[in-house]
Amino acid sequence: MSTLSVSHLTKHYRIYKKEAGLMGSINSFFKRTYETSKAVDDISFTIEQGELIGFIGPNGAGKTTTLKCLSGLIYPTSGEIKVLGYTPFDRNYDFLRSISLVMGQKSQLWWDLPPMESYLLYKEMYDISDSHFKSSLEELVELLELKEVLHVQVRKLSLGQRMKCELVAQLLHSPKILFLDEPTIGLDIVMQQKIRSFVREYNRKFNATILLTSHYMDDVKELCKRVIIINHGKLLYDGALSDIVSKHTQLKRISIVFEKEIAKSDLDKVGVVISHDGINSVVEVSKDKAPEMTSYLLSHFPVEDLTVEEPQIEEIISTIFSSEKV
Amino acid sequence: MKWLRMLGLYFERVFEYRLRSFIWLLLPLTNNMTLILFWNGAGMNTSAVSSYYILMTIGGLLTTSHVEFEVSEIDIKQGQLVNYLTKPISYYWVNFFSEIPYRVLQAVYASILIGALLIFFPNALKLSLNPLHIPLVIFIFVLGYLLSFTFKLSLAYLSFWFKDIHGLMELVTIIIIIFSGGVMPLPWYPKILQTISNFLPFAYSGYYAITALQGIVPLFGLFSIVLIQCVWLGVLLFINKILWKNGIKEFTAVGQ
Repeated sequence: MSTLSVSHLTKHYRIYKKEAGLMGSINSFFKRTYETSKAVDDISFTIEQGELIGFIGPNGAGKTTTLKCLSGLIYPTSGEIKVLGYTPFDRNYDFLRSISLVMGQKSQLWWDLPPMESYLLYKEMYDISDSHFKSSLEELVELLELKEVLHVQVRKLSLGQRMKCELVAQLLHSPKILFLDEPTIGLDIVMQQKIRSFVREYNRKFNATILLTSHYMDDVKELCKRVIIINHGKLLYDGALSDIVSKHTQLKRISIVFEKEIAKSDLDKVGVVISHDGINSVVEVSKDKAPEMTSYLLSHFPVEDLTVEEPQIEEIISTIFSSEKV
Repeated sequence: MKWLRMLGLYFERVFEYRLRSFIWLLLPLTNNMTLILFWNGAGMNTSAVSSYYILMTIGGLLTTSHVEFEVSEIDIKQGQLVNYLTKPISYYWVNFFSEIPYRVLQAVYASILIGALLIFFPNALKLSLNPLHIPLVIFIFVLGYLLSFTFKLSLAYLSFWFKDIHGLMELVTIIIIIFSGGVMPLPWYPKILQTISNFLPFAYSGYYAITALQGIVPLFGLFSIVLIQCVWLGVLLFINKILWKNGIKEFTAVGQ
């Protein structure tokens, strides 16, 4: 049995629509118009224990709504969800002790008190034994370099420090399943890297199942072998990140810096010219013709520098989002 | 143990905002002082009237819950409820314990107030409580608080369905004031209002707790108050459970 299974999950919201202006307000006072927004529209997938999965999609795609359904926060319109054999919305205490939801834009710590106070509360809340709490806290604090801030009020911490403190709070009970919603949002590059390393290590060490949503493709590239792509509530892709990259990299881009100006027409026989200013050019060629065209360029033109690249993963994902197909 | 820890944290939070609970003491005190002045101006017996309103102030401080705003506006509408729904903890008891420090602090203020009045204005406060009845009176106060708390929490749950219940909360506050003897002692009301009051739970929160504290209710009467409080508590807990069970399905955790 899968650790997490989602079958035909749907979540619809009823949204009140009002025309702009005073007349719109007067009309809506007498007659309200509602529309149904399909935040999640019939998606299905399964996840095995220990998988680290990237859940990606543009704003409003339905990622966070799905995570909320999986963690039992909101009631699905239809469909079935099983997480560790539990129905999340029942919010069975054993289920809640097995999961954790970390939201990058949201503090779950007590704002006016130091993080240590919240940790002690969570210890009682999750029935964590003294020895487990001590070892777990020591380990997490060391990994995230938090010793200095444990006794500082949360409201006085920087965003990065707070995010790390949030992670500790959510991991003290060693959850088997971790839902991470934008864990690196707003953090600088160094801090993003630290959080990523930590997530990878947590997944490896505890064989924890992790479902991660992020707008930063670096998070997904570095951490996730498998990705689930959704847009407008529909599942567009579920599979290996490498597969989708290779499927979308049938073309290669050759970037050339010439020693002297070259006419654009001379490059047309090489491939599709993406950009050209006389000295710098980018030409797109099919993957199998790339070696042949590279040697042609080097032998027929005064080349100062030449690089062959695959399209960036961000571009691939962006193409999928806009075309709505994989 | 987890509730003790939580209670400790709520106490710490209360001490972070020292003035807040003092302001909450001044609000009903000022309001009831105005009523004392009003009745004094109308030529009523100052001692009996002042004693009633001072005790109503104290009763209100100890038994009136103010949980509704935070639950409605912060937790449900702004989505902070997310913090509790993913934890193995009861939302009802979280809110119950979050209010305890305020009630304890108010009890301290109330004790100081009663002490000062008894010393400096002995005629302003009339208490003839049998010391043997004290445990039962305390129990009536606890039940009175639970009644107010459960009712206000249930009221706040209406935010699961309605976008703005602020006006409704204000309306209900006025109804509570009227039918819990907040304007004047219930026996002074017209018969019809007294009858309506008997069929509502509001007087069983603060008003009857005050009459118990005054020592004007015999032992049998105290047990009757406890019995009716328990019945009302059962009814309100049932309504609270139904509202929570259905309301939580409407929760969208918007913005979270």
